[in-house]
Amino acid sequence: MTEEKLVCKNIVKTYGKTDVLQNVDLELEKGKIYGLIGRNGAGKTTLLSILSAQNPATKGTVTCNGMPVWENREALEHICFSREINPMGTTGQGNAYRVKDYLRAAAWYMPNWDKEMAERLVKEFNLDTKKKVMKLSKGMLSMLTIVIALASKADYTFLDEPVAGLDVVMREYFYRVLLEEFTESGRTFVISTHIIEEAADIFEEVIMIDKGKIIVKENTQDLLDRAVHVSGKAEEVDAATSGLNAMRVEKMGRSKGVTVLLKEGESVQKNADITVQPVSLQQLFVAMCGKEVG
Amino acid sequence: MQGIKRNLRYWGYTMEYMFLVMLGTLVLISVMTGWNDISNLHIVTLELISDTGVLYIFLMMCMMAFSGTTSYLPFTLSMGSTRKDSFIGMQIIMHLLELQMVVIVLLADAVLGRWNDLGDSIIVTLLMYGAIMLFSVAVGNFISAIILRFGRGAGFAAYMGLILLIVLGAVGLIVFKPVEIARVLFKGPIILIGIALDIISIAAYYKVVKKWEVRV
Repeated sequence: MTEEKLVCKNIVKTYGKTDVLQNVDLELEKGKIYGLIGRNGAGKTTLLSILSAQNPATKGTVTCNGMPVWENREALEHICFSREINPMGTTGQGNAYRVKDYLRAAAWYMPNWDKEMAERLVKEFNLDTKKKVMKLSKGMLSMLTIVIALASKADYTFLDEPVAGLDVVMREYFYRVLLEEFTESGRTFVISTHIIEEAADIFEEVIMIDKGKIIVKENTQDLLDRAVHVSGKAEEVDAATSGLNAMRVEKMGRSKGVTVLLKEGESVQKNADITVQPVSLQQLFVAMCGKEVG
Repeated sequence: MQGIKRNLRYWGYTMEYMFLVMLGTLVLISVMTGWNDISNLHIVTLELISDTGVLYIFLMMCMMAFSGTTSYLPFTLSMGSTRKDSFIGMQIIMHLLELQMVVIVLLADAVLGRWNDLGDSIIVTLLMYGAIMLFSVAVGNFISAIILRFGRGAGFAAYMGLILLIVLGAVGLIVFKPVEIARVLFKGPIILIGIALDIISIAAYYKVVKKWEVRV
């Protein structure tokens, strides 16, 4: 029996001479919430577009439950990529569409569309269904993408920056609804976001992408358990972190701070002159994908 | 078939809406022009449809090509449709809507007793409209392919070039013998040329759609 997974192998995406994705291998299992984090232009949206067959890969394959996804309706029925809506862009059906037209079309295309859920979310988000999509604010556009993603009931649901423009109350509501849906359905969600700190708690696994390469795919808690920030006098910190995987170094006068990602069996040699602290996912992300400062 | 059915529903609804808006505009124009003789408003409307029907068939295809390509096609793909299903759905609906407009124009012609104006018989008239319909769809497809391949600017330039060609063609028809040319053109081979162009345009458009990328 074929395992229920979304698998991409050796994905390369090239635009002109630029490699946007470089030999990406990824497996998404059923029943997990993945956080996809990366800097602007790292390749997050491109990856999600390829996983959902909205865009072709230059090289490589994507399969869903063993079926190739490219131009395969049977496979695509398991996938929903609710992408950011740009009302003035090529997906800007907002020129003529009202919110209700948008939702009706989504219902036509998505085989497992949950109309009741869509109506409930529209009500909770206070979305005016008669309003034209092009007249929606950024937050409202995000709400619309969330409604489509959740009501699609697709086994693999991708959300690209779903909380962009949402106020803190709505963001909290979104996380709550997402967790409820996840608990009830066991669907797989991939959430691309820049608001890492807030969403970190809901990510079972984190996928970090940098310059078109996946640099981390790991259980969020396991990853954070391996990461520490060591600070103190420069020479003491150097001694304590010698031979360890230092991700980011910050220097301030004679003091130094180093974010370290430990491997199995490794530890920081503690002493009285250094401080060892846990790091948050955001701090680790900055350490891994940001530039060295100081 | 399920994928094509979904697309037929989507494209049918979206394009029929656009079609009705255009037809509504035509009726509005006739109301405005025939306001002084309100009792004959239906005749004015029918005359307008008959007179400008060919132009409308063409305009409709241009509009559908532009919005279909720039807005609706990417939407269908972002909703999980395959390119092939979306393309087939779109082509079927575009041909049906063109046919619908041709039928409306023919009905207007019939009511007004104009069926034999351009040719020797009803058959010639039907062939002429069939050819116009197929040419229009082909033009829409070629321009759609240009928009997808080279961008909206290139599509707009193609429209402008086409309008220039139509104007030159119209001048040519007026200067030379229009009835004679029409008789020669619409007596048979023109429909075959229309069919050939339609098929070539579908192939050209699909070639671009097959690998096209959804961009935000």
